[in-house]
Amino acid sequence: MRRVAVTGIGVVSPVGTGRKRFWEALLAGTSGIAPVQSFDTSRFKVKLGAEVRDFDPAPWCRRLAPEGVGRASQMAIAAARLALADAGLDPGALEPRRTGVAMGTTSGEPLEVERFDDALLAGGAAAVDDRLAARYPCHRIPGQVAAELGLRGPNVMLPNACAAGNYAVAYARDAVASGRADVMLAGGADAFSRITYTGFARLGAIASDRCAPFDRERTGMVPGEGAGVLVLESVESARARGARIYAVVAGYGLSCDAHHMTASHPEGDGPARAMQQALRDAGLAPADVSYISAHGTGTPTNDRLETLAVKRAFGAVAERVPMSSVKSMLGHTMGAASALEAAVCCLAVADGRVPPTVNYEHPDPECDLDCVPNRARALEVRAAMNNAYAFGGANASVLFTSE
Amino acid sequence: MSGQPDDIRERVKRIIFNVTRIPVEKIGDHAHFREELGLDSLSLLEIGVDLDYEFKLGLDDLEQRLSELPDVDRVVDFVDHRLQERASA
Amino acid sequence: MRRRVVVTGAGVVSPLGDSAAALHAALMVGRCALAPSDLVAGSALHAGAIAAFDPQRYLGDANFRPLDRTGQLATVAARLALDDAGLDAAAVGAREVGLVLGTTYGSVRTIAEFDRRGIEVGPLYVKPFDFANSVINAAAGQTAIWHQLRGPSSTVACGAASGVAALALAADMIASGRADVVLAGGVEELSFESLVSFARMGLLRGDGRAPEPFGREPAGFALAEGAALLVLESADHAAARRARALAEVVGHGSAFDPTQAADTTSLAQAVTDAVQLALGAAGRTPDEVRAISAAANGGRIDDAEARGLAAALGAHAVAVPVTAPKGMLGEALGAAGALQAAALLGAMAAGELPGVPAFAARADFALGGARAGSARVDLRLALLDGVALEGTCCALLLARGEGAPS
Repeated sequence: MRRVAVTGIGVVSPVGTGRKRFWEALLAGTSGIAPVQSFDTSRFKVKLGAEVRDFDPAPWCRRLAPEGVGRASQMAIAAARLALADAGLDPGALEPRRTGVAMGTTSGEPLEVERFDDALLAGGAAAVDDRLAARYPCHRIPGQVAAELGLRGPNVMLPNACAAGNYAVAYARDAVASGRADVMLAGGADAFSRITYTGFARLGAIASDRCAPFDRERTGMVPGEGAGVLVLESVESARARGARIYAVVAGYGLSCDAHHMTASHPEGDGPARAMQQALRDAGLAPADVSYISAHGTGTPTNDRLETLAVKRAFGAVAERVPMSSVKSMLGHTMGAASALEAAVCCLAVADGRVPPTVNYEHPDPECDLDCVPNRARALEVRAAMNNAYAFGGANASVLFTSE
Repeated sequence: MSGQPDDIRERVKRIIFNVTRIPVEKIGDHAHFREELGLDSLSLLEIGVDLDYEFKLGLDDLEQRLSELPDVDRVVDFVDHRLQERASA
Repeated sequence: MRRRVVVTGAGVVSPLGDSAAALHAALMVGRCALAPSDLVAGSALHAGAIAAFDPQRYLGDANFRPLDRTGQLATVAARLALDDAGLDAAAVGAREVGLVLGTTYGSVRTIAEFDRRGIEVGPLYVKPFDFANSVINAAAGQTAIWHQLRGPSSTVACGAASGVAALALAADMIASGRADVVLAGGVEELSFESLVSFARMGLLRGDGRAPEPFGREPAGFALAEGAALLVLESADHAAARRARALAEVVGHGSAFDPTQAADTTSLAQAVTDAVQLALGAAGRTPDEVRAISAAANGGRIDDAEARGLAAALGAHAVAVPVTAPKGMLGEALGAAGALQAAALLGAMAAGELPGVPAFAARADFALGGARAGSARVDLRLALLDGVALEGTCCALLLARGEGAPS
């Protein structure tokens, strides 16, 4: 099995497009959270969202017409092109059958559902068109990335909601490690929508004022959107062409709570098992982990249970491992979240700095780990763990290490 | 819309039945939703939304209220009170 | 060291029966699941609906309200699969059983209804249960909760190739040692939303006649619903608990057509690539393939699939028996590949393969072994093919298990 490296990072995020802007913004504690603009929130008690402002698909969709492609797909295509450029790879020079795409999402293209329903309610069945079949299916996202770039290798959508990006990276790592592919684009994408916002608002999950993970006064999460794509290839291939290696995808762990559709297991069982499995897969011990990118949504329950799970998996070592949540700045970008957070882990390994958890003011005895409060920190990161927990209880942890 | 407690009670229990399939006769007036009827948070929220819609309670803090109403008796009292409030407002 | 992966059970919920054996028997007599659908008022569309589906029949008197139809179909299929494999709740509880569930939509009906309610009565009155079920991985979550499946758990979406992709991913989880037992397959629900949208795409057969896989003209397919889950297990684990191995997953491969099926030659190439990768992974040659279960559904992908399979099998293409169950079962999208796999298990056990409905042999047809009628076939190695309208092609090779009668 070949060792697999991350050699390119492409992002479209609420704090900026492109790896450099993204990383600088996170290190500076910049927030992408603001009052929602893309639809009317007057009937909601909550107002905040993490939208990608001023995204123009035209520069990125060169083979496909941008208006023929849904928003999540547009952002995925942009992130994919950015990632390849970041890796120093010309799309035209890739071997099509040896290059694949693995993506994750929560809702795919929910704006298509809104469009269908608006038409249906206004004009009945006669008023609806074909787009729920032609555009909405979520596997269109990796498909359109491959169509845009002319790729013929393995192509899959793993729609595992808030953990989907990690699943995609895990899948891609295995594809390269086993020799099924030489290059894999792996990541996640989701588009902001009224549907998603309404759902989280109804659950009472959305923060009233700001996203403050691990803070005692935290009030919830903030829905967001975006896309993150990593380029994965073998370490040998990266070295042979003199590519910069951000990190090695050292291992991963998957588990299922089998407990509740929207709430985590009360003892952090599933998340702890995923972390332990990732460590075993990578041949590492808890003490080897320098940094954890938390799921850290900012809801009272998640952050408390996540802390419990980390302590369960790491034991006494837990209090020495910095664990920050970039959702404090990015909001919860759904299927893109763990892909963007994977990018954070790779950048932390390569750059020797970790981003903060912003909006942290009140220590919470139930969330008493080192959350890197408010200011980024210089830190040698030999191994970074990316944790993600999804609706339906699916958990995924991925470990990134220095070469 | 009748505000009689018995009528309210019957409608509350019917809503709980619709969501949980627990037969109405098995839903005790004092049975604790979580501890005795074994309802999880999502089911309680579903019941809460149905109650709000059925009785037009006009709550904007449903989740908070639900945590203060752990059994049928307290729900009926709350709904009765709320309906009277709204009728006289 | 890669471990061997066997199939020890299957659970099926379909318009043609609720077991692999029943599905196979129905296909053998050419029973058609397709009937006029009342989902789209005033239309003449045919679809394969599961009439009077009642989860209580399979799961007992329990509360199914938190599950939508997609979740119920998947949960029932899981129960049937676990029963078929001889894994009771205690056995499942003692292990971390995984789940890989293919789907195209999750439930598009649920997310659309959630949205419409919000539009009609406002965001305060939307249904929390519906929101939980609106995420595409909801059915996998519900199934895992119901049956306490705590191992690696993933949803896979590749359109009509999802079921084959799910089986492949589950097989890899076991082969690599990440899990010992994984339920794998797919689910798809029939709904007004999906039916009307596919109809608007002009892809569905509109003349009231059954679809004709590999027909002279691609007159269109018919949508269907269903769920199938196979129990995949490491061979050693199955042997240790004396479970019978119905089949073995010996290899798989996948490829993508970047024209998204707009160009037949390009799609055919992706089919060829997937099959050749599967054969290579299995260490088998084309002449060892005894039967093909094709994805052909009467629509646009059929021609590309036939040409792609023929190119992959070379000289052997003229002889390999072919079955194309979607002519009778309809196109169940995310569930299709898994239903095809379950039907193959039934075929392996019976030593016979259903034919291709209404197939009329013609000189220019690339798969010489295609016949309308069924045949007695020694199914020691079968090729399961999944081809999505959007370009994904997945192929999987199943060897008949030692535990199955030959």
